[in-house]
Amino acid sequence: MDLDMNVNAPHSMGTTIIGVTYNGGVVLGADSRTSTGMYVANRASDKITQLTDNVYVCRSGSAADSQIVSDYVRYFLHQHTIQLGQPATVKVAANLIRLLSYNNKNMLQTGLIVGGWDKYEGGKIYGIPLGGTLIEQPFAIGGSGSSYLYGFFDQAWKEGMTKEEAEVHLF
Amino acid sequence: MQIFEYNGSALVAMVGKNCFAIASDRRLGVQLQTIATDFQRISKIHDRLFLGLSGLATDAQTLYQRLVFRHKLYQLREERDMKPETFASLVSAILYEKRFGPYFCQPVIAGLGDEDKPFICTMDSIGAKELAKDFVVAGTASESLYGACESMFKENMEPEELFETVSQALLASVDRDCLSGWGGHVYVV
Amino acid sequence: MSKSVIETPPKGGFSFDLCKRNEMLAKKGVNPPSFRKTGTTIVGLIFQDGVILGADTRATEGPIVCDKNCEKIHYMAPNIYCCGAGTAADTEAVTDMVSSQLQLHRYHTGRESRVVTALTLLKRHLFNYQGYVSAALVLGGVDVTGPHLHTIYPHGSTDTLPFATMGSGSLAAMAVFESNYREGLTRDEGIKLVTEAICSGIFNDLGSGSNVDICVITKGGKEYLRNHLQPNPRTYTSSKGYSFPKKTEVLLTKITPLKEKVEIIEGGGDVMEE
Repeated sequence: MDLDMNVNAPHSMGTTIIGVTYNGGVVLGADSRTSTGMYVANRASDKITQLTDNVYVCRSGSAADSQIVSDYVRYFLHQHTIQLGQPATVKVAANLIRLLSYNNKNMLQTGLIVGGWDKYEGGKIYGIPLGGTLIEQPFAIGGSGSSYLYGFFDQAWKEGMTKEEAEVHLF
Repeated sequence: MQIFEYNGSALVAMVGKNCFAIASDRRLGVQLQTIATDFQRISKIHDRLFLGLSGLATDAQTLYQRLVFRHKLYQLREERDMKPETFASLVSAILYEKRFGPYFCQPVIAGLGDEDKPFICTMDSIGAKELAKDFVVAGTASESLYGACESMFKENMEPEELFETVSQALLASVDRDCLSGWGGHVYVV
Repeated sequence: MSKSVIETPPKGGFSFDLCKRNEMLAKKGVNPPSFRKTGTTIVGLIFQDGVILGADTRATEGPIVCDKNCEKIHYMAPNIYCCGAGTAADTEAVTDMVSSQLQLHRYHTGRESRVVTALTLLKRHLFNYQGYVSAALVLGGVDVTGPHLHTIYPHGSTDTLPFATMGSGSLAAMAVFESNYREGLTRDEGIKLVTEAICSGIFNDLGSGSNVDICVITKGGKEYLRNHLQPNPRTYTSSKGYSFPKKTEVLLTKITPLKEKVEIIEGGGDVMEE
């Protein structure tokens, strides 16, 4: 019975998501497991979602909430890109997510990491945790698996890594 | 206590050869106390369409009034009677509208469609249609009715035999249910 | 004021009139009735040239099987079908609503519906109701962009997968898929695998039962195989049937002959002038 209850629980992601900056841009990483309680509902899910050509987002928390937020932001960014006539910056994307997360913080159970590259600021990582705070970080960790990673990242992260170093890092 | 057990009811509809029968018990109670022994649970929508409402009597009456109202509007606008299928969809829509605060009512719809093709249908209290080919049941005696109908039903019964089968199934079942009884009404069309 | 006196047909949306009363009754210890559920096994997979959907046919209301042969594969568009699990009324209503929106959209654009359109409409509705509309769906179809298979959860989250299962029998069915699915299955292999998965749900999950329904959607068209397999035929029917020697005691008989409907066509119907 207990298992049955859990299958009906909201679909959420026991997740590890990471974003790291390096000297030429950013690297984003995520696992691919989506679970409902104890059951792995999807073992090949894509938690790194494309917002525009140069901005991606890592999603954690409730799957429904994070999908709706990224769907809205993608829509807003498309409009923004058309109006501006040039690609949206990472900051704009992060700010839109922050706005949605903050305005609906009572209803949303989601933490996101925005990463991307633009010509003004280069590679940037922004973390937007539960309440809707916006934090610009050299590297960001999120999801339920993040607690294991803080120690590792504090030790291993250094400024100005190469792409290869950063990728190795994520594994 | 379950809300359906407040008034108690038993409803059954069966299909025969170019005919159908719909039957109910006649008891209206308030929990274990009997209030009336000649209660009408089945009502005529038009000559070929009958509606039975089991469950909480107050909701059954309200729902009945709304459905008759909507059917009359349809008659005025279309200048014809509703087909049983259409009526079933209407009942389903009205029930589903109250998805989050439902009428405590389980309807049974029985009617003759084009070329006297019988149609029977039941729903739960939020309008999930169940279209059956043989028989449908509802009410507090539904469990025993399932058993009785499951064994007594035969395909292509003539009206006389259908009447007998439905009555026997109903009477046998309400005897095992303390919340329904006092004989029954049977309509054979 | 006028609204409460003259009740006009509603414009749509839910009505919450009875919520207060029902809540009061629930507080007094009068339990609301259980709804009809489809304790279900529904599955879908992508094969060589399209999508196959499958479902069992049992509907339950608490411990009672109230329908032994119900339809759980719902029509969305000519090229899109959707399996539903959860509360029967919700899956039925939500798929009907979206399929009519898709039809209108087709009239408007004159193009074949896309699976993502259906997906977005479904997820938007379900997300709006925060999981209270309990419909878990497997949506499959073939459109201009190829075959698609999605699962939609009651809270409005969606997944895109090559093979998917839902409902109470999803674990049993997933076990079959996980061990036997591969890319590029042929039509017959696909149908066989889906049947196997549904059967494993039927026999191992108490909420699922009766027969196997299958729907094959390909680029050219679709094939709906209602009761593709009937592994649980009725074996206990009495061959003689029942007869009742002692007739029921009839208290009152009233015979009302059916009135013939008379249609009046005024003026022979050709009075219209140019």
